Amino acid sequence: MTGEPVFSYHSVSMSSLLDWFIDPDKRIIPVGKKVVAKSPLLPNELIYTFDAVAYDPYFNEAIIHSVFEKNPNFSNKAIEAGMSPDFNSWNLTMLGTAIAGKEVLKADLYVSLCGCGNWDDQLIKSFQLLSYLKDKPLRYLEVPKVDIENEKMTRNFIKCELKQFFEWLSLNLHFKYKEDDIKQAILQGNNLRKDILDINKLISDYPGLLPSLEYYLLQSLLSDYACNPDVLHQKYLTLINELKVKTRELAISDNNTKSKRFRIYIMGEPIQELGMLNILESHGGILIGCDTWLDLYYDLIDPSRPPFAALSEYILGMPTNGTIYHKIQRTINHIKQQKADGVILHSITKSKSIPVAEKLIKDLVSEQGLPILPIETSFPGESLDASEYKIRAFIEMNQ
Amino acid sequence: MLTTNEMLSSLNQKLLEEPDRIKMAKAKGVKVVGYFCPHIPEEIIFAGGMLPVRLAFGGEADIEQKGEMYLKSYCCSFVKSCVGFKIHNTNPYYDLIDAVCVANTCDGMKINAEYYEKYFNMPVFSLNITRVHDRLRSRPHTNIYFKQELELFRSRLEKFNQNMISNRNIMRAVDLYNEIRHNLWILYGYQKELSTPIDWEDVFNITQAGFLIERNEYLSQLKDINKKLERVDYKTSKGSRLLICGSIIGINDVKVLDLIRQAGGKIVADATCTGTMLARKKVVPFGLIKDPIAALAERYLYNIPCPFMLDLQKREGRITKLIREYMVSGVIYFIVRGCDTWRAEYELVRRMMRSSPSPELNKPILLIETDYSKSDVGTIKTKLEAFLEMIGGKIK
Repeated sequence: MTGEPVFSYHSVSMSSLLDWFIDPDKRIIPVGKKVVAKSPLLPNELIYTFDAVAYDPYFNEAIIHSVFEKNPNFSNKAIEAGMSPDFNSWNLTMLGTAIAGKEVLKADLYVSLCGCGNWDDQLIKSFQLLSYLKDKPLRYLEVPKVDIENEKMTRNFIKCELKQFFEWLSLNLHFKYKEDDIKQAILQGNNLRKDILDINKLISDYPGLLPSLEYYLLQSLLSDYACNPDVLHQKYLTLINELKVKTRELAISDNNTKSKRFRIYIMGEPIQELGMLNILESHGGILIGCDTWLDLYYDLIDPSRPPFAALSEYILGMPTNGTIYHKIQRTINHIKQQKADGVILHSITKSKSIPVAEKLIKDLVSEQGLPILPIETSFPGESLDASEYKIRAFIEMNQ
Repeated sequence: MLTTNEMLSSLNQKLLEEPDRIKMAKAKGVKVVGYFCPHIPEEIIFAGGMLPVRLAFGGEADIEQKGEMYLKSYCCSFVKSCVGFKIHNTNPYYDLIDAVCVANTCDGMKINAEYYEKYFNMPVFSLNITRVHDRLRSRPHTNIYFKQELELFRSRLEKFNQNMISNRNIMRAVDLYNEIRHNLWILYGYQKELSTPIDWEDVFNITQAGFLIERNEYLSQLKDINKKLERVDYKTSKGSRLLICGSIIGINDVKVLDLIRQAGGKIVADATCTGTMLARKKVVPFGLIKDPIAALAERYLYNIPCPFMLDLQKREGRITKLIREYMVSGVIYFIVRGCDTWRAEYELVRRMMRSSPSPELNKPILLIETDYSKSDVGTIKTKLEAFLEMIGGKIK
C-alpha cells in the first residue's frame, strides 16, 4: 500500500467533479469577485449574500498541497516562522501556505466562527494569525454554547452578532445587501444541502454505489468547494441522476454485492490520509456516512421564514454549539439513519477538539451497541500501516 | 526585623489546617464548590454560603500521567492534572468538593466539564464566556449576554445549595473580595521599586494560598502580612528583572520558577492567571441601582485577557504596561505544553516587542515550553542561563 488515494469510480460526471475538486486550475471561480476566507463550518450563505467567493483555506490548502501535490513542506514553513509545532497538520499547512504566499486563492477578508461550544481553539487562533500575517481584516462570528436554559438569550445574542457581521461584510466588501440577496443565498446553500442529503440516502440504501474515497470527498469538500454553488449544484445533480440510473440497474440485477460489506460511518475530524478510505474497502468495509461537516448539511435553512431570522435559527441549531454529549447524540441519529455496522472515530494528531473528547465519544457510541474504532492520523503516509492493521482487525472482529 | 518565613508562618499554618477546617464545615452541611479558571466569579459562590476552592494544582508528573487515562498525551498538562487529581485521590481538596464550576474557556477546560459530569458523577455548573469583546465596547450584546449567564449561574447554584443568593449578600462578598484584591495589589506593587521588602515569588505564593484558605481568614492574613512588611528590611538586587507571562502556573508547579531563580534571574512581574491578574480590577457596582451582577459581568469580562478571548491588543497592552512599570529587562513566555491559545500568540507578541521603536519596550523574550515532568530540566536551565547572560547578567 503506497498510501496514495486511488479513485475507482469512473464516469464523466465524477471525473468532472473530482477534477474541479483536485485541480485548482479547473475550478470555475468567477472573475472579479472578492474572496472571503472562512473557517470550515461557517455557513456559506453569509458570504454568498454579498456575491463573494466563500473559500475554506483550512480544508483546501491541505488537500491541494499536502495530499495531492504531496508537499509537506508548508507545515515546516509555518513552524520555522514561529507558529506552534503543536498545531495539527491542517492548521500548519494552511498557515504555511499563507506564509509562503502559495495559497490557492488569495483572500481579501478572513471570517471565522468562534464560541464556547465545540469550536476548535487552534482553528480560531489560526485565523487570527492568518489575518495578521496577510494584513487583512478579520471578523469572528461568535456563537455561545446552547442549552435548554439559555436558548432564548443565545438566540438574541446570535441575532445581534449576525447583524453586526453583515454590516461588517457590507462595509468591507462595498456591497449593500438586500433581503432578496439573503434569500437567494439560502436557496443556493439549500440546493447543495439537498444534494448531499440525496447522496446520503442513496448510499444508505445502496452501499457501494460510490466508492468510499469518492463519497468521502463529495461530503468533506462541501465546506470549501461550494465557492461556486450553482456550478457545484449542477455537477452534483448530474452525478445524482447517474447514480439513480445505477440503482435501477442494481435493483434489477440484484447484484449489489457490496451491500454485504461492513458498513462504516466515519466520525470526527477530516482525514488527510485519504488512502485510509481505500484500505477500508480492501478489507471488506464500505463507507456509508460521515459527519465531517455534518453541521453544515444536517438540516436545511427554513426558506419560509424571514431570511435573517432563518439564518440565525440555523446557526443556533448547529450541533457544534452544544456540549460534546449533545453533538454526539445528533450524530448518533445520523449514524442510525445511515444504518452503520460500525464507526471509525478519526482524530488528527495534536488536535485538541476530537482527541480530548475521544473517550467520551467512544463510550457514548458504544452505549448504543455500535462498535467503534478510534484512529489517529496526521500527514499523508505517516500512519497508514498502523491504520491498516487496526481497520482490518476491526472489520474482521465485527463482520 | 522579621524574616520572610516568620512573616508568612501564620499563613502557612492556616494553609496546612485548611483541609480539616473544610471537613468541619462540610460536616455542618456547608457545600464545597471547586473551580479551575479565574473566570468564575467566586463572589457568587461565597455569597450563597458555599465554600469556593480554586483547584489550580499542577506540577506533578504522575498526576498528569493519570489524566492520560481520559485525555491524550498531547493535551495540556494542567487540564490532564484536573482529571488526574480526581482519579488519584491524593489531593484532599479534590476529595472534598461537592460540585465544580467550569468556565467554558479553552478546548481542554470545556471537555473537563463533561468528564466530571459523566465519569465522576459530580454536579457541574458551566459558565459561558464570550470570546470577542473589546475595550471599545463595540459589541454591547456581549455584556448583556454575560450578565444573563451570570444570573443563570446564580440560579443554578441556588438550586444546588437550596438557598437563595441575594444581591445584598453578593454586595457583601464583592466588598470582601475587593479588599482582598486591594491588599494583594499592594504586595505586587513593591516589585516596581529596586528595593523591596518581599520577593515576587513570595507574593505569588501568598496569592495561591488565597485559592484555598477561607476568604475572611485570608483577608485578615493579608492585612497582617502588609502590616508586618513595615518591619521588614528592604533588599536591593541588581541584574535582570524579568516578567513571566503565559499559561497557568499552578500551585506546586515550581519547576521553571526554581530554574529561573537558580539561573540567577529575578521575576518582578507576571501576566498569568494565578498571579497579578487576580488582584487587578475591582468590582465596581455602578448607577443608582448598583446591580452587583452587572458589576461582576463588567469585571470578569474585561479583566483577565486569557487568550481564549481574542482581544490580542489588550494582552499586548498589558505586557507593555508591565514592562514599563516594573522596569523589566526580559520576558519569559511560559507555556504549559499543549496550551494552544497562549502558544499561538507567542510569535505575535515577540514581533510586537521586537518592532517597538521604544528601547524601553524592545526587550528580549524567551519561550519556555514545558510539561510537569523533570526530563527537560537541563535544557531549560541552559536556555535560561544563556538568556540571562544575553540580557545583562544574573541577580547578585
